[in-house]
Amino acid sequence: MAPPIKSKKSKKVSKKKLKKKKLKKKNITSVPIDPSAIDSDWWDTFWLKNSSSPDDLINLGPDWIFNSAEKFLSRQSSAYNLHTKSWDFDVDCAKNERLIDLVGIPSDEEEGFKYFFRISKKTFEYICSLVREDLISRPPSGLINIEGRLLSVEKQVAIALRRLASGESQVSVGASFGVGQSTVSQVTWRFIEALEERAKHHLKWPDSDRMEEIRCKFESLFGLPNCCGAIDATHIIMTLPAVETSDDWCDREKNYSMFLQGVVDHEMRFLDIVTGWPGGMTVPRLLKCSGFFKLCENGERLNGNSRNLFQGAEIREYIVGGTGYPLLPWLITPEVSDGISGSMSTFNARHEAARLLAVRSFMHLKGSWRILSKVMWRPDKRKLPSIILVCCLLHNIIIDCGDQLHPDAALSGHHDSGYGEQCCKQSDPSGKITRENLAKHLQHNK
Amino acid sequence: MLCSVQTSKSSSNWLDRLWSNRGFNNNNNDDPPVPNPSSSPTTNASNSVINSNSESTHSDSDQIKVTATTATETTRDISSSDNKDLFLIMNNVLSDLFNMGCVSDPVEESSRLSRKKEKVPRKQTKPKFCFISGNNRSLNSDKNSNNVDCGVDDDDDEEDVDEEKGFGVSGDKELKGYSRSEVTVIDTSCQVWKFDKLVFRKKNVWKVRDKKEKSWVFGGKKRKGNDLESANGNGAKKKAKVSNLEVGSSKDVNDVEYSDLILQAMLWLYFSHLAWTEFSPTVWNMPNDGLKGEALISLQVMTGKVPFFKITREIYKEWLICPNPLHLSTMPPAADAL
Repeated sequence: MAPPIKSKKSKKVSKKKLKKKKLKKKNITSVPIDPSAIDSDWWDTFWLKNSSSPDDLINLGPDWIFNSAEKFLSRQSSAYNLHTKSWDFDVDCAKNERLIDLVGIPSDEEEGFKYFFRISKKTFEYICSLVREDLISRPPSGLINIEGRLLSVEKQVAIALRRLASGESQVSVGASFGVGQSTVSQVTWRFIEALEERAKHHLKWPDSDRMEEIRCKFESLFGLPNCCGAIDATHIIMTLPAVETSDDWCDREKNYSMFLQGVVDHEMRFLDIVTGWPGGMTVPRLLKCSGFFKLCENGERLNGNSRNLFQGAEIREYIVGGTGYPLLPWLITPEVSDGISGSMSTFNARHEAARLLAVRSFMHLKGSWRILSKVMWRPDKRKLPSIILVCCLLHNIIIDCGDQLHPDAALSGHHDSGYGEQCCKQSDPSGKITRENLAKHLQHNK
Repeated sequence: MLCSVQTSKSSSNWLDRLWSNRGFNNNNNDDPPVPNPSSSPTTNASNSVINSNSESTHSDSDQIKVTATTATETTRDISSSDNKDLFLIMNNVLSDLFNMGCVSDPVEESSRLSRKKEKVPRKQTKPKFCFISGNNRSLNSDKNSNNVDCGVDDDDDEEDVDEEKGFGVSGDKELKGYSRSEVTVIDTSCQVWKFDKLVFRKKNVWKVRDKKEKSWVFGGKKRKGNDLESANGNGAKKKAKVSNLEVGSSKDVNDVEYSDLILQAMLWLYFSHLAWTEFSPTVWNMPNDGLKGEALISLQVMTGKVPFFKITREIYKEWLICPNPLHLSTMPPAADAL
């Protein structure tokens, strides 16, 4: 029993040293407790608590880093293995992630802000303005932190964004802000409810002018005339309590998951999403369940002017999708049969480049808002679609506000790693003709 | 309250029972019922229709006196043309609301009511097509039109078949052996982004159906109140009362509004008859801008001729408790509330 006690003491000492060091470094006095005050200096406190320069790491030594990694490991990086029916702990992965986290925190405050919340301070202020009316805390029932001060809208937004961005546990996020787990839970859900109502204008199908711009960009970037976007789908993996387990939610990789399908433009902005359908569905089934499919089939979407190509061939508006999707007049997939012609292989290459926009969008989405890429622990399936929607809205807000999507934030590999793309055999004759015409057009303009 | 009336007198219809419950003797003659003070439950033990609930409502001796003095005048007033009109309106309202069949002639109707020896079936012998469901279907589809019907069409896939049609008996049978999941979908291509669906699956066969919401009698705003009631000790009792008043299998907001309408109709019928029988000289001879006028407006409201008005729960409660309509502070709804 003795050694662990010693180690605990040493941990406490090292923590105290760290705190003292930080306080000295920043020359900030302790915050006075005033129940009537609004917690507006949340960022200074948060930054002090959570930033660490590489020098600090060196001074702290490998033990502290290891302990931090261990702590991190104990509270989150775990995954339920459906095959072994047990929790898997990827020790090395967790250590590496945490160390990367610790080392990767930028020393610059502005960059640090972006690192923690994925958005610039300016965009943060914009988001606060969107949800202010819904989140404003008023005494006596307003949300308070552990110091007894009312939570400002900014701090609430920061808590919610940090929870969505990091995917860390509510306890962990709460600790970094000096609030309890229940406050994190409450604040995050309030933020989600507010944003999904207030930020709808950031996710809408473009009007004709905007669509013209998108079509031009797709043509200039990929040579595809009249292309209006790219479509893809991803799984949001979760665990379910035994009573709720159902094969409907169990996908082909034996994970419980929920589908998210999105259509994106050339800037990787989501133009249309559908989520909430069980992961047990197939991608074609998901497509057919979507309102987008219905609109397109009824000629109410992708119904703009056709483009005249050489030899009188007409190309209607369309989007590009992977082989998992059916070939339709308005959804063009690559040709996968053996022995394809040269023109078709050129088309496939261009098509793939355009389609990768959707893939990269999902990689950014799931990388920036890690709550979507981590295995969610028994989420409320009624609430999960809202969480997904809000992450998509935040993704679009970042683009609309001119913030650069941080390249490091994106997932490495694939957004749906472990899910090989399945091939859908369904093909529509007019879709085939469109594809051939596009291939000929590309060959002609080579 | 309305549903607590005993049905020991099988030959009487619910209106007869209601009158009897209120202590009015319903004779076999063709005249409309005349209030009979001697039929008070405390004095007339032979009246088998009267239940225990009515005792408390007739404990007010003053009220009985008023009833007795106005009895003969009521009989005379019923025959007046104004009251015939009102009777006709009310019968039409009843016909519309309860599918009782078209009643064209008030005399015929009154004779039908008075045929006591003939056994009147409790249920309609030839039930009419209930337009409520059809109406709701269309209203519902309007409400959820979303520009896009977010469902799935019949599919000719080899593996997957799904469809989205209303639930029917045959539909329920079809779904035997299917797993069932409730899903909340967010689809930005729909006008309403968020909606619930039921997903049924049997291997590769998927069926998607609309999820029907729970039935609430008192509409959306009342929901919180009901929830709160169910949270406290009296919840179960109050809920049971509410369930007694439920009409049909109303499921959505439109149904709720409709059941509100029916409830109002029943209450208005109830109080109108009280007023008719007890207070006709003082009430029905009033000028049109008085109570009578407002009652007619209310009937017009029920028949859809003027916009629907809101009746709060407090008013409902007062109506249910108070035996005398003239004692009500909130009765009838003011015309400016329309």
